[in-house]
Amino acid sequence: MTSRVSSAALGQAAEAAVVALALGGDSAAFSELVRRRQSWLRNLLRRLCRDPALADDLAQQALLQAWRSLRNLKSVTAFGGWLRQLAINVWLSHVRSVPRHESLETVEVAESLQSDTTGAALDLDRALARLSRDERVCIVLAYNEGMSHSEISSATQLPLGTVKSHIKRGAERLRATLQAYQAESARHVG
Amino acid sequence: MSDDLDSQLLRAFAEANTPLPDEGFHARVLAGMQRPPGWRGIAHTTGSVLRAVGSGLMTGMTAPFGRAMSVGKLAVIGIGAIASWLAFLAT
Repeated sequence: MTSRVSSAALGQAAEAAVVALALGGDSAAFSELVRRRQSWLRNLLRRLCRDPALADDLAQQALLQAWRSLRNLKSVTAFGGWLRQLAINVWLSHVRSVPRHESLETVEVAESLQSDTTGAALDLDRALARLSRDERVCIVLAYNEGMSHSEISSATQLPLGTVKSHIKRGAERLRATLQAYQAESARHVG
Repeated sequence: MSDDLDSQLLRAFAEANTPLPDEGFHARVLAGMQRPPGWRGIAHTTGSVLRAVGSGLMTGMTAPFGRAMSVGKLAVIGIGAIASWLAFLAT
């Protein structure tokens, strides 16, 4: 990894400046972007696919695609949104390539509420796994990423009306499942 | 964010998004960046070419058997061909 800029300067530079260096082929600058964005990207993919190992694999694929197609980035300030879209595309192409009966979703949905796992992230991911794939992606993009309905519609190629109903119904189901988990853990504590 | 969202769920998502430890993730991405860009494509193309050649050869070799011909007829033709060849060699 070589760079015209010192690693200390890269670490303190604004993201747009680091992206501009990476666009010029500076691999150390891209490495800095990976360092800054990895946790966010892996968390996003964990919400979408729940399996942490798979989420990390997909995040890695998205980052490598980003490195190889960085010249397609329209603006240095749009890096985050562009990377998120790459991650969504990588995830969608993964779920389309896996037959539904072989996907983790089947196993996840069959999981009982009395699992040993605890913690906010685990509860949320278990509850998200109970939603349909389209409901889940709409909910995650709305609640995790703060995207508007129309942004979600263009990111997922789902009609706007469908996105709205997925978010409404998905949120109701997610809330109910999380409440059930909380009641369950309260019973275990009590 | 222009659309109304449930505050309870927003809080659940915010709590779930804790910083993740690197666990070698960064190093794996950097290793991937240093790989020649087209290595997967080259491997995929080579595999496809080999599969196509193999499939062509197999199709050519098995074509006679694909026709509506009984095993008995094939055996008679084969034995006849071998007998003719041996007779030719004997003369």
